[in-house]
Amino acid sequence: MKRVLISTALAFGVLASPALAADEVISGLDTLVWDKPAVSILPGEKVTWQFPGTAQAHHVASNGVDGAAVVDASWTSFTSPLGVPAPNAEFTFTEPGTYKFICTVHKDTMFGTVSVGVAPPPPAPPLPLSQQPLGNDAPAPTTFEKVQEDKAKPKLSKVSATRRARGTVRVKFRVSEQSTVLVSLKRGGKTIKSVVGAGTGSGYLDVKKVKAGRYTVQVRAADVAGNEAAIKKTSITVR
Amino acid sequence: MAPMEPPMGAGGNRRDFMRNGFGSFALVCTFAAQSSLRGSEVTKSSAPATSAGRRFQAASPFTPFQRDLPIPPVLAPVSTRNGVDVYSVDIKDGIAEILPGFETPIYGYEGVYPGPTIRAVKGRPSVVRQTNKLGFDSNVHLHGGYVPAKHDGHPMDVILPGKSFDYTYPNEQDAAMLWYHDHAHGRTAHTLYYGLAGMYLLSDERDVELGLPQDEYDVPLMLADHAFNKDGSFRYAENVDLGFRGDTILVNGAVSPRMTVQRRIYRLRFLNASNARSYNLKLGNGRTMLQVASDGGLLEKPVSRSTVLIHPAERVELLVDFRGFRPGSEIVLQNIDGESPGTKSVMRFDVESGGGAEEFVIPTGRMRTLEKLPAPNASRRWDLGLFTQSGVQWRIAERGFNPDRIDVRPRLGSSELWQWHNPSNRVHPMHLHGMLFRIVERSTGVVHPADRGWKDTIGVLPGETATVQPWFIPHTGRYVFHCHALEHGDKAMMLQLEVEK
Ligand SMILES: [Cu+2]
Repeated sequence: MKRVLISTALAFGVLASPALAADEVISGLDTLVWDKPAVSILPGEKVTWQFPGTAQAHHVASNGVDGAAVVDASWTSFTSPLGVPAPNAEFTFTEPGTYKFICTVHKDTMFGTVSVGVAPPPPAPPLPLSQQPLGNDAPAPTTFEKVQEDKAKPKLSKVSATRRARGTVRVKFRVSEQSTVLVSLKRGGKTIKSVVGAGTGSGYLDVKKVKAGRYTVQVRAADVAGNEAAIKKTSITVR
Repeated sequence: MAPMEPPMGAGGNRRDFMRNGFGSFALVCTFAAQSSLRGSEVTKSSAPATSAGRRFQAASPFTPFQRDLPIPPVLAPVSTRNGVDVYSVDIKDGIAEILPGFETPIYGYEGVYPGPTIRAVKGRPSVVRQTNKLGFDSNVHLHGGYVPAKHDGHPMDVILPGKSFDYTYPNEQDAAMLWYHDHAHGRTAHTLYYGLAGMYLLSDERDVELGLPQDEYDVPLMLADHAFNKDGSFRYAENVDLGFRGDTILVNGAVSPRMTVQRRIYRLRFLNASNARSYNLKLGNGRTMLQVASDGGLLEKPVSRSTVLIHPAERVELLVDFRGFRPGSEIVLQNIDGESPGTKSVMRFDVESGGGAEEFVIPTGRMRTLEKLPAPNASRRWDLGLFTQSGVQWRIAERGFNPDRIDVRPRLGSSELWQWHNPSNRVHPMHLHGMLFRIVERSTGVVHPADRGWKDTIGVLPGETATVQPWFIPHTGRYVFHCHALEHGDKAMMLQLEVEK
């Protein structure tokens, strides 16, 4: 890092100056601001920019001058290398004037001035509301779920089967909650016909085109969560 | 009553029954009532009235889970003649109510944010007449679309203020969640942040064959981080290194909203439309979600996930099954990579009763067979890095964007291996226009099963080298590929390719 500093200083022909009490140190921060966006020094004094502990790429560069001062030409091309953290950079100002500096990575928020032997710019008027941050003040979430899992079986009751019109069997039942109900007519262990319906409370499903014979009527119900009711059976003879 | 017949592909085995109940056997009709069965069903509450009441009680405009999730309007065609859906969109200024009681000036397609959703069907071309009513150049890129070069929204092909352009989209590719956004040169970080983004859902018959949730159970969700000023306007500060970071997460333009869900299966289609933020999504305390699709549509098989990383411009489609939860249950979708309270809360699902019987199905087997790519006939390495010559710039292969220079000239129908080499400490979501690719290899580990489908954007991680295989079909012409961290892409992480006959 030391070598970078020296070469930067030499490259821009800055004269080494003895340390003065009025030299300024400005820190670039990861909140994307300079800790001192406006400093005042006298000609011959030095400003050092540093980036302690930053995790984002920053640097400092000239952003020209304000007003028609006699300008040190080397300021115009002043720029320091990017880095994470960036190396320190320094510049000794010899001519009076108002010098503007910037981090080009964060140009909307990281800019400032060095007033050299001139009155510092007056404090800026308060920003309009359209430029003042309204920060998100919501508390950190602590609970990520408030959940009741449905493990309860639905209740299936009042199962009955009656003959309706020719070849139609009406199977009535009651389910205690929203369920899918499967009605099957079985004979000799084989499912001959079945019908599916969905709903809650009392209802019925008609099984149509049933051939004559004696059947076991099986009713199954599964609730929305997939919990199954105890299977209910009855029987019917179709003539 | 419906006779019982198993639907195609759903089968009737024990496993399906366990996952899907009787619903997997057939389209289920409501059984005939002896008394008023419907009386016990809870009607969905009308969102605007209740949310207004809630908003007033909220301590801060940033309090999460106060607002009901908005669903962007679906754009209606102005004509459907000759098998082509014609749409008309004005790109214009608008006002959004994002923070309760505040007005946020935006740029918007039809003046709204997010822009209206376009629902297209494979095999039916659409024409979108975009009229630029802004005071500066704009254009529209259909991200993820197989689109002829002239209609792709190349950064230098712009619509001047007051002019229109008819973007023609063939819709010949398989179903996928695409999106459309501004792509005028050097300005996307600004224009997308201020609202120029909308979703484009291309569907095909496979969605139906598989029984994937549709209509109100198929929900597009646009994620974007924002910050605000005291007058309610969006606050933006340029950060060329990290890209923009806001302190607030918006889903479909609402601050960390709540979404009322029935005890049903939902298809949640996430789009990361943030300038530069990646999200790491986790449901509740780590409940599994089933990923069925990525950028380029369906995966070959569903992939079970407990966390989902989604980089800028990527899409992830998840099936979430709320059937096992009792009404009143609340489940937060968090961003576990959020660095502040406001960037941790994405949204919350509030379970209510009702919804009737499930008619949709959770796929368990093969959903799609991905086409085989031709053998690659070239290998390229693209280094990604930050430079300070001519201002601060990100570059690909040490080159900035130059519209007068073509960087690659692949042959139509060929494929190559592209190695993204990222020695930087930032994620670079690298996106190829007009074409799709597959991820072949990652230096950080095996390619996740959810990343093995068709992709148009890959989040190349800090320090990672990732190899992708683009397939240069179906159109010839000039396209760009670039970093979709918008501050990177604008400055100037973008190169050009020309696909030649
Ligand atoms: Cu990038």
